Amino acid sequence: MIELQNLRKEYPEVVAVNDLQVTIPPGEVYGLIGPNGAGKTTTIRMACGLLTPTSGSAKICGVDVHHEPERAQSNIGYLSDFFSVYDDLKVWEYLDYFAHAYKMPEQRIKPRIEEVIQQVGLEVKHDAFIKGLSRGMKQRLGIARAVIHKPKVLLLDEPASGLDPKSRVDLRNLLLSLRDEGSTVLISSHILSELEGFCTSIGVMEKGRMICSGRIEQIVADETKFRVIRVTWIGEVNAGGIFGAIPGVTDVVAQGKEAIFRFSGGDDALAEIPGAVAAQGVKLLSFGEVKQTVEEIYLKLSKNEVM
Amino acid sequence: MANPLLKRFLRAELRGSRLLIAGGISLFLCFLLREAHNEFLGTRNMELRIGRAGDSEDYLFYWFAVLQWIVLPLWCLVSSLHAVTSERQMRTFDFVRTTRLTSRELLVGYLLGPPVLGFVTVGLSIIVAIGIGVREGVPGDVMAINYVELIVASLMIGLLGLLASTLIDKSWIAGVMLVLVFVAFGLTLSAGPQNGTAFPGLFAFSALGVISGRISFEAPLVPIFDQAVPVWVLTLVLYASCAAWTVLGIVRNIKKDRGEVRIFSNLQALGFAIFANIVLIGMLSPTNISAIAHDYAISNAGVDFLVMNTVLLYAVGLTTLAAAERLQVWCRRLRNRWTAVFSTDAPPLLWLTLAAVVGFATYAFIAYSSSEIGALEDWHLDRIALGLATILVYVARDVLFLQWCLATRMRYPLAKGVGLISIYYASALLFSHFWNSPAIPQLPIALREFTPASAFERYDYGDPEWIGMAMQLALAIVFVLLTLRRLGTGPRVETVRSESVAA
Repeated sequence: MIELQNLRKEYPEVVAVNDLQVTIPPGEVYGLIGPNGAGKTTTIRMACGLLTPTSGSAKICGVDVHHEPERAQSNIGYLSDFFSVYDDLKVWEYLDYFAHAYKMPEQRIKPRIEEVIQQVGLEVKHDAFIKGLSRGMKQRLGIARAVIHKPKVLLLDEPASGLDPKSRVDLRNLLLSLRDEGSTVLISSHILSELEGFCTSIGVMEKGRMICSGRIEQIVADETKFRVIRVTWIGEVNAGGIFGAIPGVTDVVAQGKEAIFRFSGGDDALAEIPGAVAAQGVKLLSFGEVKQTVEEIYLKLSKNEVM
Repeated sequence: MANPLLKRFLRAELRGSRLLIAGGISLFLCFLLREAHNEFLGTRNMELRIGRAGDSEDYLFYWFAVLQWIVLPLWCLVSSLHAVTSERQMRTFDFVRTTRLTSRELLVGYLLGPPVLGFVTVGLSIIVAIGIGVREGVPGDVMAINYVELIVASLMIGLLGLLASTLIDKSWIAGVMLVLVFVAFGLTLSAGPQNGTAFPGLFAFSALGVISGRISFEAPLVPIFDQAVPVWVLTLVLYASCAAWTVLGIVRNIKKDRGEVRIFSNLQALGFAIFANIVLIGMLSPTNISAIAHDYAISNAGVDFLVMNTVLLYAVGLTTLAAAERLQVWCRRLRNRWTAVFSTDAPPLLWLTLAAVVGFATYAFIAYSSSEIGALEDWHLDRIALGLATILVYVARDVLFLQWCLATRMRYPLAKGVGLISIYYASALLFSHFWNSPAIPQLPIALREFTPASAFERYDYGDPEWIGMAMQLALAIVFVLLTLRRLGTGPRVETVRSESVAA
């Protein structure tokens, strides 16, 4: 598990990360969302011991990363957005180097290399020099490196940057399988579609602060205290007057023969609305709730700052 | 192989094709060297006198030794300077840092791994050279000592390069450092025996000069703590000491983020100052120098001592510069606790002062243990104290200026800071040289007072020069105080606290 306690990083004239307080339980896939410059990368770099926090602490599986870095790092797999690999090594040599660097038991290294090479689909490149690999293959090799020692925690900083669509799907499947194996994953991105449907929890960062954090269902429930309803009809209707007069309805936006409004009542009250408007001569074509996406919630939380 | 990093380099560098090319180049160079040597002998119309004492240049072994002394340290320096820098540029170093490799393993891997092809190339030439040396009758111990020194010197210079590599992230800065370090190393190599100094042991910093004499003559003896030892012993001790301090700096910093690097802790820097001063005491030997140079050497012992302590103070200052981020933490602590002045994150003024005190204590020891120096009026303790205080003010001024450059987080703060200081001193030198007008003879001296040069002069109280010196010293102190105040205030930081939510 990952525990960030009052984590803070100051640079002259800017606070990159401002007293962050996050606990990510085992098996969770936590998406760190925020615009560029929000402090996501700084947070991940502090969590894996690459940066020393100005104050606060980062614990991985109960081990303080900055007091016992080597012990903590045996549980961490780290991948950043843009990186290189050693072109003068072969694929298996690259993984062998990192397996030894993570001090894996000698007898486990060879089978593990074969296993991860298969997981990332590089079997045919086993003995190839890295300089001959495509960008997508190198990225997959990077992922293989990050998981070679079967870390309990994966810290991924924008891992899908620069990947082609197929590699993105492969990455997603790989991370899902790691999640199923019980790994805790902290993944940052400024592209929400990358994380939606994959993360179990999210944290929204802005200007170094965590403005919202928790399980996705909980956040959606907390942030959707009203429902968004969309209706369409035929004929001429004074939508603002008719819908606006219904108790619990606010923010009616009508355009042509369609209107969207917010409704804060219960299910029973919602079910009565079609009958009530029909009684006023409105011929409804459709009536339904619009589900809010994580992206819409993010935009709402972040006060529509540029992503 | 226990070190994975070293194993990685061996795998990458020692592939068959590369080995063949390296071996071929090495043997070809050996052939060219032999041809050049033959040509040289022919030009001098001499025959090689195997087994007889002659000039060092007559021996082909010496030619090999000189080339090896150039190639191997240079190869080690280039490789180690780029070892960490290139990984940073490729953005692979973060992955290495998040593995369980210890600082010591990284040090060994980056020191011995990148130049491994150089070891093979030079190693082959060493085998050839030993064969030639045996044929020419070069004593076995001379060859053995030569190669032990070559290896130690190459490792030392490789370590210096690796330390520099942990500090930088741009290849062009590595290139500039390469030139500076190698020029400095070349200068020490070419230094000859010093008769005009009370510290003759300093000659031991030059390894090559020693070798050239040793092939044909007795190995010179140098005094250390009043014991005459062969110069190569002292050379090995000096190089190994230098390497040991460099190892300390590398192990402390290699796994840190570049922005958090501080070469030594305060106590380590102070330890370095104490160690260097003890070495100076050990090398002081006014009785072991020739009679002709004796008076000159004695009268200059104070100047020599001050010059060496100036270098030492700059070294202490530069190795204890606080990283910008840590300096900011220190500023905040300082507002709450005055004891923060002792913190590792503080600007290095306090530790510079302590290093100067160590220097003075060393000199006091020298003066009391050597009646000759202690009796010299020009170099009484009060004069040395004043000289060290003057040097301290100017070194503190320059070091704090560099600290301020770091705190501003400008691009390449140290390179720009050092550049500006160099321009400043070059300007002072030029003004004092060209404005040497007979009408205002005090002017060059007055200008010189902007530099620590005044510490090496003696002025009488009330002289115009004395007044100029006092004024410029006061100005430097004001500059130091203003810089300290600016550093202590720290930058303004956004203080909004987050309303964070725990998951």
